[in-house]
Amino acid sequence: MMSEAQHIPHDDSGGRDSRPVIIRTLGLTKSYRRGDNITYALSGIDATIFRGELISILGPSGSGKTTFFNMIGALDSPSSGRVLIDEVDVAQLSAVELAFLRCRKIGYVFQSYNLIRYMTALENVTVPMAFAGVDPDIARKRGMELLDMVGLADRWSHRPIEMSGGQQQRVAIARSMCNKPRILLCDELTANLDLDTGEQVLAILQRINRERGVTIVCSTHDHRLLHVSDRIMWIRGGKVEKVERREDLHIKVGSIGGAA
Amino acid sequence: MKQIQIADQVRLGPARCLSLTVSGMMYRLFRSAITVAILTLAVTFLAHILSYSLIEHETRLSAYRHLTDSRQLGQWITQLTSAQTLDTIERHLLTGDPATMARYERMSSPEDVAGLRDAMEQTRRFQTYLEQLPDATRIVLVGSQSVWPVLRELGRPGRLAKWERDLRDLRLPPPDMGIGELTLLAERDMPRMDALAKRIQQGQQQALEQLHQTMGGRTVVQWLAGASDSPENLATLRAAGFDLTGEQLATISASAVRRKQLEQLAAAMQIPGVAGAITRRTDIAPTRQTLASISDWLTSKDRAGWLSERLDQAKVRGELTGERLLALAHSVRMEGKWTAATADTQPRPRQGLFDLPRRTRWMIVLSFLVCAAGVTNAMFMSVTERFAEIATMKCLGALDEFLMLMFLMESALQGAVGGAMGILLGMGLAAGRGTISFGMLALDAMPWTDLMWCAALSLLAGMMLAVLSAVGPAWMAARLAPMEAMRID
Repeated sequence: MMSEAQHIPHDDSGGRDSRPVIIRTLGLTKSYRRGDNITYALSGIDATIFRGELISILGPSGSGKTTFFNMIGALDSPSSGRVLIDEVDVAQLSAVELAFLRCRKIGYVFQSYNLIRYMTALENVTVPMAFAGVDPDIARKRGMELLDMVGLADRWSHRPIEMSGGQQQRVAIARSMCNKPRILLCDELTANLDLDTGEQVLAILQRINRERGVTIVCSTHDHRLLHVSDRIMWIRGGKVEKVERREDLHIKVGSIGGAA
Repeated sequence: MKQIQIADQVRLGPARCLSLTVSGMMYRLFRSAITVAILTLAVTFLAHILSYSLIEHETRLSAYRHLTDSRQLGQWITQLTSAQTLDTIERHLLTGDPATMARYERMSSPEDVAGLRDAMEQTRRFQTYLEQLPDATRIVLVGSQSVWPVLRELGRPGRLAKWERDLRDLRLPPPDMGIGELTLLAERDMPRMDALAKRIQQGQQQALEQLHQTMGGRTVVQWLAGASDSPENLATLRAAGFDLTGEQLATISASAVRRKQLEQLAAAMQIPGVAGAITRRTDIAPTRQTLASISDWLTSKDRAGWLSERLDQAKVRGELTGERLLALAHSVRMEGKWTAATADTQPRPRQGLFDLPRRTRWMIVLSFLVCAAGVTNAMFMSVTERFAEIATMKCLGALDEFLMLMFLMESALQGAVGGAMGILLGMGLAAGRGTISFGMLALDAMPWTDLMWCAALSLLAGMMLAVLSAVGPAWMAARLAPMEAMRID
């Protein structure tokens, strides 16, 4: 088992890195059966994500990016292969432990924000704390601190419909951080935002990563995100195509002609 | 050193679940309103049917109880006026009721009655035998006659032998007492029993003659109206064969007073002067002046006073003061209402809340099924349109059981609200319908305790209906995969 865990074939940079690993996948596949045809969304992904890094996952539509994302977020189970989060096999966890993991150890930020419509910004932020059994008064206090962190303390009583996309996304980030998760998963978080708001959100993300040491995994198309990422993982056809460090990437972006 | 230690997720308490549920419901008030409306309809239907049948039954029963007083007087008048017919005496002899038997012993002699006890027992057995025969066979055999005429017929010479042949021809079993016993019963005992019945009747007649002498030319009603529950009066009645308590006599006497005064009033209305005056004042033609029509008009002190004066002018007032007239008119009106309410049948005792006609029970079940389909549909809609929200909650750490509980609580709350509204509506309608059918009688006889039970039951039924209908949708919500949250609408 140990030898398998240490052997990371497709990740050329990971093998050399000595930092602790927080998410590791081994031979991850996901297939869907439709009649006699079996379609592979993922066909064997071995990936390593290090503690405290900000990693972006890139890939065209249908590349299996979202499926991979669901797997490492413990939202879906693989057809074969394993997902280890801090060396714990997700498949071994019970439903109650999975809920615990999703509630306190992983934060999720969705492309469409997924705020609960009938709740105010503050109530939205405190929902995961309610699920975690935090005392309501403490939850409100911590919620206000988090709203302050994303610069929305004065809008705590607004409902999602009364806020702009960027503001909603910031509330969603505050919500994802409320139980002090170790991992933050962001799915296309800037896709629905304009340039300025996107920048703001990225700045917040960077601060969370640097100041709190939270591991951040982003799936994205946004090249601005690449600038703040430590590494970029390219997925194509259900496989990891390549993993690059930002330093290496800059040269390439430059050669393309300053796409960022 | 590991950063992530896994443990079990906390389970939320019911209060926490409820507060999260309520905040969600307030937002989707419109969707809730539809569900609540469906539930309200079903509960209204149930509550209405249950409570109306309660009200109707209770009203009839209380009307019937009121009427027994005046009916009793009628029975007493009959019994005090003339002796019972032979048929009646024979029927009573067969029932063997101890009080009646005691009375009959006084009317004839104890030995007479005692000597025939065995014969009466045999007669009862023969009656049972006849009754258990199939209807068609019995008619061929004995016609529609009761046991006494049959036995009398069989007592005639040669009849029994023919009857025995008939039995064989019809392949019927003979009576278990045996033909020999039957012969004795028909030929020897029957004449003696007939004689006993006649003696009892004669005894009654004599006793009544004595009683009428005591009355001194007054009618039975007049005598009863004047009869207090004094020991002498009770003794007189006892001598005539009627065992009464003082209390019974007092009740009968009060009814007799009323009857006497009504007769007085009826007689007074026959006087042309009075009738004419009434017609001029009320527009009721003399031919249509009955106690009922006058009572309907006689509703105020003014009118009663006026009528009393007219009676006084015609020198027939007697005890009929204005106040008395008003009370009499009221009693006549009430009696009319009671009679209408009982519909001339004795209400049978109720067997629980659900003592309803089969068809009505089916209608309740059907309405609940239809309603369950409606609620289930509404809840499924509610789950479907909240896919993203439910999945998000699961991503944020909601347990399956919390989501299940949330939806069940939501529907239970809707059931409670719908149930409460349904009870108000249904019972209000029932009370209104009762008042229309029976007037104030319904309100006087309102069975409050039973109605409370009915309300509690309807509320429970509404909530159960809502919760059971929501089990499927709630299960679906709980089983939703959290990755649904990643989907973009």
